[in-house]
Amino acid sequence: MNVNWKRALVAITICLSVGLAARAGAQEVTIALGSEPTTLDPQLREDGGERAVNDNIYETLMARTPQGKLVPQLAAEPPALINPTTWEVKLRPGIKFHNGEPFNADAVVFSVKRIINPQFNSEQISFFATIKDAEKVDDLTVGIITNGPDPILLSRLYWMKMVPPGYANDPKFAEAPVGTGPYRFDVWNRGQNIILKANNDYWGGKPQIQQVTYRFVEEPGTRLAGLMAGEFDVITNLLPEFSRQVPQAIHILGLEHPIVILNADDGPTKDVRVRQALNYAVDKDALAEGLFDGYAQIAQGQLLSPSFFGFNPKVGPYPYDPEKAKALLKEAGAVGATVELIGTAGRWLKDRELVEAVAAFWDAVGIKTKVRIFEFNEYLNRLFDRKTRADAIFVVSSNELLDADKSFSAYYRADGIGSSNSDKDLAALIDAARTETDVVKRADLYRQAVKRACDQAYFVWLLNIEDIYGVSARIDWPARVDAKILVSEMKVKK
Amino acid sequence: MGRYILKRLYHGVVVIFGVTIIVFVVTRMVGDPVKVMLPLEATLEQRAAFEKQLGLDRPIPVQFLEFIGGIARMDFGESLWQHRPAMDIVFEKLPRTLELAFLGIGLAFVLSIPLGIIAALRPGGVSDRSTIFVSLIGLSVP
Repeated sequence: MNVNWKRALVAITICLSVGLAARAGAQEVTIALGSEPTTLDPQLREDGGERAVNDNIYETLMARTPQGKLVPQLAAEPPALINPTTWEVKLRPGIKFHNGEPFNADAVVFSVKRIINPQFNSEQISFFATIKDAEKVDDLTVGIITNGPDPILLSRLYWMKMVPPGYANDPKFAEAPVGTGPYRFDVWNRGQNIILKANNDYWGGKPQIQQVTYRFVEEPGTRLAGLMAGEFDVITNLLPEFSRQVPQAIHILGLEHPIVILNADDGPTKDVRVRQALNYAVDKDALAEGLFDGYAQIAQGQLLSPSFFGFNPKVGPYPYDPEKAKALLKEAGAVGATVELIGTAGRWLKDRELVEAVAAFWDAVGIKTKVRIFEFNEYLNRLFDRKTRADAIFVVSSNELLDADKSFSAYYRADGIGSSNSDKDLAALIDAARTETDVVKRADLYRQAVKRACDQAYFVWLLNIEDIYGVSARIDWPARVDAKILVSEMKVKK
Repeated sequence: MGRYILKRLYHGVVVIFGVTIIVFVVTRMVGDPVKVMLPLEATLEQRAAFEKQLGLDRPIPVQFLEFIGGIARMDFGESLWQHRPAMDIVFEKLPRTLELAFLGIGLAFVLSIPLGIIAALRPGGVSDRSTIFVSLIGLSVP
């Protein structure tokens, strides 16, 4: 008993001193993430926790403004296409990694070769599958060679973190990262926290905030409690229903689009009128208000946000019109038809609730919706099943490159991993856009594809979800469309 | 006594081997790491290539034999998620597991010995039966 009391006292003292320390150091922030990184090697995994930390340590040749515009970062100027399969990148001079290694052409060539090496087996390979090689031209110039013409290369480079060639082979690399960014790694106490310190020699200027602590809190309610107690300054994935309680709920249109894929090849949804009816039947405003407290916008009849390349401003959402839906179903002879709707639970924000709400809207116009919620692994079996496509599959597409190619290749294009149509014309448009290096022509191809898919109602486009962050009163931060949490863009209010 | 210890050790090895087989097979039946690890939009070719690199495309018995072979060389493999030796992760968690285990055993001694003595004073009595009842529940709860 005595020992326990002592322990409790020690614990209380630690808590108090940590709290006091946090208050004393005004130029520090504590960020609560939903998951701990599994590794801090920036090229290996597809891991949100890893990315949130490493986005502050590492940099890329191209970056994005908070609004999503591509701009050079470690590149000195926008790379130029010197022949159909080679982009020439000029590098910013005089930059050093945190360990003193120079950032130069050798570092870029090494970083590219490392991540595309099949032996390395990066989970990020789907972003870089078009890259064939990289070669040094001179100390500050690199040629990046693609398999075919690759108009998306600059967006891809925005995703590829540059690593120091000397240190990257060290076994410690995955635990103690070294980059060129505004923050350098200090310590990782597994299971507890990761601490970064400002890189005051940063080429882009000394960051205001001098220390960042990441904590890992899986439970949204616990993250909220920590924010309210003053323990955290920024928490991620704030639930919409908590937004009114926090000092600041910063929200910005994010990268996630929940949609329902309709089977255009078989079953009742083979008839375009049925697919259109399923679109007219859903009140998307009600979904945004009822499930997301308004922290979502109605999808514009396409799997793209306005900030993405390929967005077609002339295509809009199907309006909520249950009468029209009923009429179309009657015309198609599909009144009372059974539609199987596949979903999962707990993977994405409000996934089960969205599926159930959509089913209720469909039922209201005379469809018999059979909702089937599967555990994620089994759900993926259905999503990837190419032989027997379900009538309707709910999925949330997340488009990190802010370019139509990735999500269209996966969901719009016939034979894509999650597509349910065999529209050859649509596939031809997507294939043509994939290798079209003329920006204007490429945008036009996607606009045609968007229009065609919308007319054919291959999907029920639901929402574009906003990212919501809970932020303490002392932090000033605008948030970004690409969901990166860059501490160098935060300010501590005086 | 020596024979007894040997026998128990032998039993332990058999149990560990059995558990290894079951865990190995079951984890491969219930979830496909490739499906979950790669982004949803990754193509089938990329998935196949990834699986091949991890060696998960081979038959389960082959994978199992390789795993056992590794253990014989004191190589316990690498975590798919963390890309570092599995043993490092085990040792990282070991102190807390031991702390829990010893506290548990300690508590069990403190409680069970006096209770056992009380129960043994009157075999078949109320205290005996209730002690057996409670300890059975305790054993059954995972």
